[in-house]
Amino acid sequence: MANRMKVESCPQQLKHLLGRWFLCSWLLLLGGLCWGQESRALVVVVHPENPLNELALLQVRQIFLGRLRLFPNTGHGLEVTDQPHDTAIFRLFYRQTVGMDVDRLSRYRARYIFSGQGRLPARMSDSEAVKLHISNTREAIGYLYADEVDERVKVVFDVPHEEAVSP
Amino acid sequence: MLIFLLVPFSAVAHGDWQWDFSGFASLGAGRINQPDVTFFGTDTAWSVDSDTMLGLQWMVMPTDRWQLTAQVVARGFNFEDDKQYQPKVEWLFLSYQWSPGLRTRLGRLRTPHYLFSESVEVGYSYPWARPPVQVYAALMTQFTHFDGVDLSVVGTWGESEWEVQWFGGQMNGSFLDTEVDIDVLLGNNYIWRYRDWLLRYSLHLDRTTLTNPRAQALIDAFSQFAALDPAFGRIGDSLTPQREWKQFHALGLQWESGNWAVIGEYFISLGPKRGFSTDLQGWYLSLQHRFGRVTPYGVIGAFENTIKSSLIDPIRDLQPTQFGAPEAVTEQLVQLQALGLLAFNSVNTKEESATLGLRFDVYPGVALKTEIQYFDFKENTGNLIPKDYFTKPSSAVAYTVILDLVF
Repeated sequence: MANRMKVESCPQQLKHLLGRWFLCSWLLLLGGLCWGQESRALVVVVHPENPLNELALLQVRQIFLGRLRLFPNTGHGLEVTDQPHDTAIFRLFYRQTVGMDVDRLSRYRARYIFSGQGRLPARMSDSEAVKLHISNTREAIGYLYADEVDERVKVVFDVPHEEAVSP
Repeated sequence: MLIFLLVPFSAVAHGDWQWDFSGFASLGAGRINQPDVTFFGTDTAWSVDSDTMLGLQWMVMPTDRWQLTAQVVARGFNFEDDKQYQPKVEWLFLSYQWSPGLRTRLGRLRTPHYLFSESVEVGYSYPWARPPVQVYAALMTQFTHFDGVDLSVVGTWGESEWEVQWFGGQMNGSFLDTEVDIDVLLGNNYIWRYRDWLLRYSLHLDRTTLTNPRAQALIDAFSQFAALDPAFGRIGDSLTPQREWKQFHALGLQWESGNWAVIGEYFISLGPKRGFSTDLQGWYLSLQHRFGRVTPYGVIGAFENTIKSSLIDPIRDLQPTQFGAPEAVTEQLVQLQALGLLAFNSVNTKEESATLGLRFDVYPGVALKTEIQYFDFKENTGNLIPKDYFTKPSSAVAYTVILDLVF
């Protein structure tokens, strides 16, 4: 009886160990993904031939909150692009630049759109669409994860990692 | 409408021209507990007209710098009963962007009195079921736009932003039986933003003519006794509407940090010393805290409308018996004086209120709100309109449920 118990408990213990190992792995993976998403650097990008080379944080805020309607310093046309509202990059970008979450940003935009101040950003489907649009549109500006940047866009601002104070 | 919810804020390009079509809507229901007054068309029965509206906006941009904007709004409530749900052009202007921080607009523009003036009908854009009536009442149906031009300059100073707007034009409208004609409207607004803070000051100078049939009847009545004594002629003359300058000042403060927000505004409007003129002032203070998608809020406020003492004092100081007139005429003078004082005293009003409400952000672009507002009438009935001058409650409670959306 004792030996049978020993033989049966061994596979059970192995099952428990394997189970814990899988659970921990998944937790680490998910945690890593989440942590990885939140810690990925963001950048603001424009067309490579846009004469603008650098933006200040205040100018980024003004642009993405619709308070600047032409590119600063150059006076060229400005077309702002956005990523989908239900994505991590959208939430992260607006939290780190203007200190607003989705609901608050939505309320703010309703106020300035319907007070005739300007128009909403053009919504892109994903980062690849942002790069494609910017490469075809000199007036366009958007945001990406830093590791998504390629030769089709030029970085003009590195988004600070800490959460922004709302403007 | 459901399709619009799935595609909020649509933007379409057509060749080199860019154009946007968007809209906003509110579906509301409200009632008050007092049968002797009405509140924006609401009485003791639930009504969906007072807070229901639909607005459509169209923007076309032929170039980077030019923009044409038109906005049409249909409201369920209007002080003129026959214009319910009648579409009205609220915006129709051409805009030119001279430089990144300099813009001109020409056409029909929103009257820019307060923090939320330019989006006063977009319920989704502010936390409350309706903007605090102690400050926003006049803008909510009547004096919503003017025809003219404005110039806006935007700049930065260190970490702060500033904006200055100059505007001029003309405006007219009516409130109950009073016609308001502003043939010259001038003003400027100053906005300053720094981190969580926004401060706004507004100054308007309006050359105004107020015409009211009740006032005209009084003018005629006093004027007919001018032959008896010049004092009557002077009273009639002081009430005669002429183009007089009116001053308006408003201060707004908004602080929003994390889940907390405080918003407060104060205004004072100083009427001229002649014509059917009053001084108005009002203020509110709002506090809200967000818990996820739910935002409870509280508001306190007060409003006061006072007839100029320079208009009412001559009537009050009349001594009908001093003129040596026959008894029948003296009796008429006594009645006229009483009628004059009654008419003017009915205009004087003072109210205080407290509001509790809840906003639920169902989905980005859709918000459901519910609100209870308590009015304490210190003199007459404030922003609520009595059905009978001689029957006025001392307080009232308004209940509102409203669904706001933008698309």
